[in-house]
Amino acid sequence: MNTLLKYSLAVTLIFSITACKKYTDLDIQNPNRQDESNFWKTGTDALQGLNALYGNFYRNGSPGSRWTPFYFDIRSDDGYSTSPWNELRSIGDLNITQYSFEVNHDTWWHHWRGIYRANQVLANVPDISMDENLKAQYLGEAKFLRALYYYNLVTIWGNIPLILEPSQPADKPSQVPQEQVWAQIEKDLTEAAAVLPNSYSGEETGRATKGAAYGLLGRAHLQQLEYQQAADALAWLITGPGQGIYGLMSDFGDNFKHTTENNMESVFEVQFKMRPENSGEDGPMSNVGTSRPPFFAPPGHGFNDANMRRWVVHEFLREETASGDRDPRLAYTALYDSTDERGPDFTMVYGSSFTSKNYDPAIQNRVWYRKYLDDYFRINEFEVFNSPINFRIIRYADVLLMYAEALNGLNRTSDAYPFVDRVRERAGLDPLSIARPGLNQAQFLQQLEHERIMELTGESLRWNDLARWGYFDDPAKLAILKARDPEFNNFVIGRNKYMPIPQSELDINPNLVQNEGW
Amino acid sequence: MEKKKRLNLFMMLVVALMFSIPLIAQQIVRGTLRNTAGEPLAGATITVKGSDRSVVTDVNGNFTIDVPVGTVLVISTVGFQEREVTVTGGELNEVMQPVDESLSEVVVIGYQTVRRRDLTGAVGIIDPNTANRNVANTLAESIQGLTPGVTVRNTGAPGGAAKIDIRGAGTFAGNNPLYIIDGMYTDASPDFNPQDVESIQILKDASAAAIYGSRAANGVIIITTKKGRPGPLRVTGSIKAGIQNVHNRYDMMDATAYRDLATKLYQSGGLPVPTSLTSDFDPAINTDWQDEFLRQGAIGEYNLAFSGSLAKAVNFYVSGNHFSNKGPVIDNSFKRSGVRINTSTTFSRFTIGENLLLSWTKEDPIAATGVGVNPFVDMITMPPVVALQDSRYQSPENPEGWGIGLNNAYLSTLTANVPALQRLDQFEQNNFKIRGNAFLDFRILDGFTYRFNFGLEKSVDKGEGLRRPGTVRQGTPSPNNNQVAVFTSRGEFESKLFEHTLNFEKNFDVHRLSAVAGYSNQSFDHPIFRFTTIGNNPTTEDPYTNLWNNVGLLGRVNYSYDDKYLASVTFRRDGSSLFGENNRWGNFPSASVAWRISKEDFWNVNAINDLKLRASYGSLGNSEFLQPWLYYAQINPFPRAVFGPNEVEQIGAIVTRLANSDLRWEKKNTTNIGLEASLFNNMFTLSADYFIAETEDVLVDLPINLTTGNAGGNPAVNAASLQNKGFELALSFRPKPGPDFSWGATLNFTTIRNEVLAFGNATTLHTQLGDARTELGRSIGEWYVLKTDGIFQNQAEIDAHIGKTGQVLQPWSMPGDIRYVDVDDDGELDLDKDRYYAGSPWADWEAGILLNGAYKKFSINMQWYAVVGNKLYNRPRYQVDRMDQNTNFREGATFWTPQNTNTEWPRAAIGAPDQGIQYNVLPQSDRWLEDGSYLRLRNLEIGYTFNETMLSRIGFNSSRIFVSGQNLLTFTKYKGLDPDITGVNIFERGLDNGQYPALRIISAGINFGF
Repeated sequence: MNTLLKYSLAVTLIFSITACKKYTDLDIQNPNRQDESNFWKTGTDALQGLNALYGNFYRNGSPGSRWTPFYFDIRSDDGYSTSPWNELRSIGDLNITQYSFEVNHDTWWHHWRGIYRANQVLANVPDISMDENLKAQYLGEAKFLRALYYYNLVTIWGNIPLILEPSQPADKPSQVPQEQVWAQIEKDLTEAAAVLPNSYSGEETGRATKGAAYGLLGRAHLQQLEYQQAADALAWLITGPGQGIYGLMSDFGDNFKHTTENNMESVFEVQFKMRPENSGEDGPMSNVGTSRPPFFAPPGHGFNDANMRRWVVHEFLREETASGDRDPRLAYTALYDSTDERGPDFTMVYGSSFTSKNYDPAIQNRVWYRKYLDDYFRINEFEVFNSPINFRIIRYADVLLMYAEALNGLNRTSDAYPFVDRVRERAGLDPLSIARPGLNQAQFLQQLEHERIMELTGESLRWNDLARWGYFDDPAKLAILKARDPEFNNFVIGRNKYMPIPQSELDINPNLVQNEGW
Repeated sequence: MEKKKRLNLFMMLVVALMFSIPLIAQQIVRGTLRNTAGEPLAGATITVKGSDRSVVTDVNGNFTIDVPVGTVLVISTVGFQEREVTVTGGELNEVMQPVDESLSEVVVIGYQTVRRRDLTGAVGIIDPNTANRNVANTLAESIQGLTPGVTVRNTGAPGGAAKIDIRGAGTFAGNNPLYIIDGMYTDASPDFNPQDVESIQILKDASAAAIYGSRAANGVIIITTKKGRPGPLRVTGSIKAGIQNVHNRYDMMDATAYRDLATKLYQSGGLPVPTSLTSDFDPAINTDWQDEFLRQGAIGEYNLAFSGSLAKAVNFYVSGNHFSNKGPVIDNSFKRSGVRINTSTTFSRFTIGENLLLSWTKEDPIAATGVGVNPFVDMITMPPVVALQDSRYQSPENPEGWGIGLNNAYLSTLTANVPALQRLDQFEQNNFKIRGNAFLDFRILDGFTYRFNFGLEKSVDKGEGLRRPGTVRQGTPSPNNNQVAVFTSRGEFESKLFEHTLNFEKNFDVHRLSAVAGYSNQSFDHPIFRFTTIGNNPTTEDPYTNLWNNVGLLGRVNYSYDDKYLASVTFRRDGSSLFGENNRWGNFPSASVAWRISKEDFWNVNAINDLKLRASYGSLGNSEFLQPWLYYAQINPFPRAVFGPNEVEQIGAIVTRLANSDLRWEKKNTTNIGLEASLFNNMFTLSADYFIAETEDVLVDLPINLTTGNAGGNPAVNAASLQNKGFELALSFRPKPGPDFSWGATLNFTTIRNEVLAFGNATTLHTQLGDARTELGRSIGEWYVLKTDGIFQNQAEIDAHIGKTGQVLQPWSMPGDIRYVDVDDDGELDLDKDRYYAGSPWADWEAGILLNGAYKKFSINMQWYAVVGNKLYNRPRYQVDRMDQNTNFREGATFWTPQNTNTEWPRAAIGAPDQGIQYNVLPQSDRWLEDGSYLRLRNLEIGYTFNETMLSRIGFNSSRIFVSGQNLLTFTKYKGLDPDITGVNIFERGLDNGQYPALRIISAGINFGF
């Protein structure tokens, strides 16, 4: 017995000393994930890093998804919110009191997430040995996307930090003058435009192109009223090599459907796809669609958090087409009792007549933004959180109107006419040279304001249009907005042009200063 | 070592006896065993030392045994100290001392045992019998209020884990104590049968816990399970059954009262009144959602244990138990079955043994997944005019027609139908676990023993869920694209412990010396797999395996001089794979001294028969917050980018979550001063401790700036320093028992203050989560909210409410609105700046009182528990008192109107409210804070012990029946369901977010033995 025990003791000891290397190792390899020490080594790594940057578009607060329309459309004079969610409604009401509430928090956050990813690509890819053409293209795409995020950040919040290197956890950045942000946007886009291809083929379609970079560069210059630089950039798409690539779709509605994506009118789109998803972020099977529609759809099909002001409808009705019909763009822009001009019995709301919806009086008069609704295929169903419709960040019609605005700004008003006409004629309207000949510079800008409402309402451009046209700095112009949208009675000049920075950011970063008035 | 020595003697004695039996005359010894109250002790075992001969006392405590003079008899019975008595004559009458009355009781302090009287550190000792009077899912739940310095907060969820803080919150996250069960490092889990517990010791200060070094900062709970003893087979068992309920309900309006108030609210908001309140009002629909969601629950607990000794050599304890907990919520339950096998045997210089638990648990939790679902809030907010189920609600997205808000015209509410969700969402978590250890002791030399200890914990977890299609909330689509979804998850946790220790023990003269040195290594392997099938599309989600290892070197020396001067020095050096290469190892030293003044010659206070002073200082570590590989940033392989006409998803990979590469051990340095005294021959005992604990480099995931672009969780960081100061007192009183009547009382009292001393980053002065702010120089998570000051009764009062600049502070207000104070007095009301510290979630003090009494064969035991001075945020009340269209209202609710001014309720309206009405229901105000103090009769048990003569006729030798009530009485001003809340996390510890309340349980049972 004793011998047996001694042997078993010996065996136990030997086992516990020798077999335990695996159990005593303090430097354990992670079998699940790569890390920065073994990533960013190959062209594939570079591509995957860049793809992850595109993947940031699928967050609620990213450009073109669920929340940015609340800043650019609902907050503007063509929209308002009837949401029971007080804080969400307060964005449109222009009296936000909860600076850190989910929407303001996430929109800020998801934009910075895009910046962080872009910065990782731009910091790491240059050192990878790989195909130099592809490398240049990838860096160009990342610069375009970084500029896109900064364009939104600087127009929504105004005074922001400028972060160009991958972040560290303890970073507490300070704000920089806005001109510095604009200069970086222009630099990134100029560099991107130089290296990006004119177009992609096959399954690469949807990546940033040279035209996208010039389009956004033109938009950035125009926003700063730098008309010559804006015209120079946009000219590439209109009179330069891009003129053979881009054109207007004959059916205006093709710009808002998932079946006609990446068409010739599209300059840059966020690529959405509908498939089963879970609610996670950047996890397996996370959403690659957009959750915008439920927030915009009417009661019964969505939360009806957003409504269009009825004056937009009246604006449409001011001018008929050359053949005496209603402007066909109205039906694509607004869902209301007379989206079908024959009235509520014929107007279809997700497959059933407006009349059959039996809305109570408070709802009957509402107008809903129709662009990007899934009402053409979610027949009699609730909206989806994984909608497939690509969001058109830059569309050729906008490029034409921007170009016209830039030329007009350069006092080349008559040169600007043909570009507005292209947009009008697609809608069946008489050319401006017939409808409004001989406008002076100010009148032409006034007309452009009207044209942009007709063409672009609900496409997240309105707020910055109003900012560019000086509505937020001039009490007389502000009065016009108040007349259209009583929420502007809450607008304080010097305060409401920019949103408040989420308070939680200021709480932990003493280098940040809240925007004026908030 | 002493045991081994005794063992040797005893072996010699056995041999001697074997040879001497024929030579020595037998003697019939008769005797009676009694307890200190003079009552006879039935069922006690008297064993001839060194043999398997034994007898058991009868119902009158009498026994008879045939042995020679000089024989040593070992007397043992559960709950009393084992005694050895040498036979000197024909009569042997002994009084047995209860275990917990003994100061020479041995306590386990980790790798060693010491006599309780020799303790130099702060150790809490809990009587398992008292703990077991409570029906508890986990051990932690059962020890609430039983020892000072240990704060337990309960949830009533079947299978739910209580939160336990030992000496306050020494850290921001990861405050769970270390559990050592029979030498195996583990954590709290509901798989453990409290009836198997022989002893519970809680190591509270640095010197007591230092041997566990890096894992001991949150305190250590050492649990020893029951062991077999030499002697005849003993069988004990118990059955307990009872009912349980959510003891408190919100008093909500019925359909008629709801209709009347809601109608007024819609009208005052200028909105059309929904037709469900007017033309479509159906008096037949009057749903009491609390009744639909809650039910009467039940518990059943069954235990059977066998213990004894096999073939003279193998001591065993085998038990089986089953616990079933039918929750007081529909479709919510927990079941546990377990088998324990503990054995040990000794051959010459070797002792080998094992302690093994096999356990099966099955939990059916409350379904709470889905947008906007919070069951214990939804059960009060759903309007009573919504039917549980009706064809009116049927749609493709709601095929079963569960009642929800429909639309503005009929009724709009965003409250979820949680009784429906309980039915639609089925989930069951099954767990099988093996946990135990095996050891080998080798007595190398006299006084030296080597031990090899192997511990193993292996569990197989399987979760299975099925979600039928159907929405339970207005405007929220039926999940999973309105298809049936099946979820499966599998986890396999494995932890292995290898330990080698060398013990030394030597007593010479008045010197008593003991020491231990050793090596400890634990490794963990935890793979998890998840599968989801939506419709017919199966997917596998990210299999992930966590791996981590700990290695430790440990040592301790205890020295005592004449029981008068005692000292102990401990050192542990630990390495962990959770840290980067330069920060893996940490050193954790401690030292303690004690002085027994009552042993000094000059001590002549007879009333105080024992008086000891203790002092200790030491450093403990913590890394519980960390998971493997957090010290570097990982590449997230899941981002996807869609491109092209075929919408191909291209793979993306990038860092999404930042990391701090210099993570290091969190360290807690504790100073402890203690005093222990016994008075009047142990009638009073007192133990008092004062401690100061400073935690440095607290590991937590404080929010970092969103401008970093970080996602997927804040990176772990060594962020702050904290201090906890506290005072603990335990008093017990055991008057001399009378012939029929005896009683005793113990009281424990705890007061602890925590303070944030520093944030790692000099620029960070506070961190805020929700409405609780943690600020430098203050306690963790104090309420930081707007200050209300009554209701404006008229316009004049609004106009008079001006700031220092003369500006009207609330120009938007109307009579009936809440007046807010311009706290920072800058002349403007600002929702972020005009906040004040409105109270703390931490109790000023807490106390437990135990009262025990016995009259003849009846016994009564009471546990009282009090928590005083904390403030809770009543979120459910906020939800209903907002008076919006989503909610039902509390019975008696009203709102201010010019005709109804004498009310505490402000002006209210549903729909398009103006700013005044919005401000009346701001969540961030002190309107929702309530005093969380309470006094609770935690447990009351009345028992009766049967007449033994009667029992012996049916083969039993002991039997006792009892009835027990848990949480029978609660005295509190708190308006929520229950003031005993676990909180949301440490920063929002006082937030009652609609948690599963502690339950009232009434049960009856029987204990028996034969």
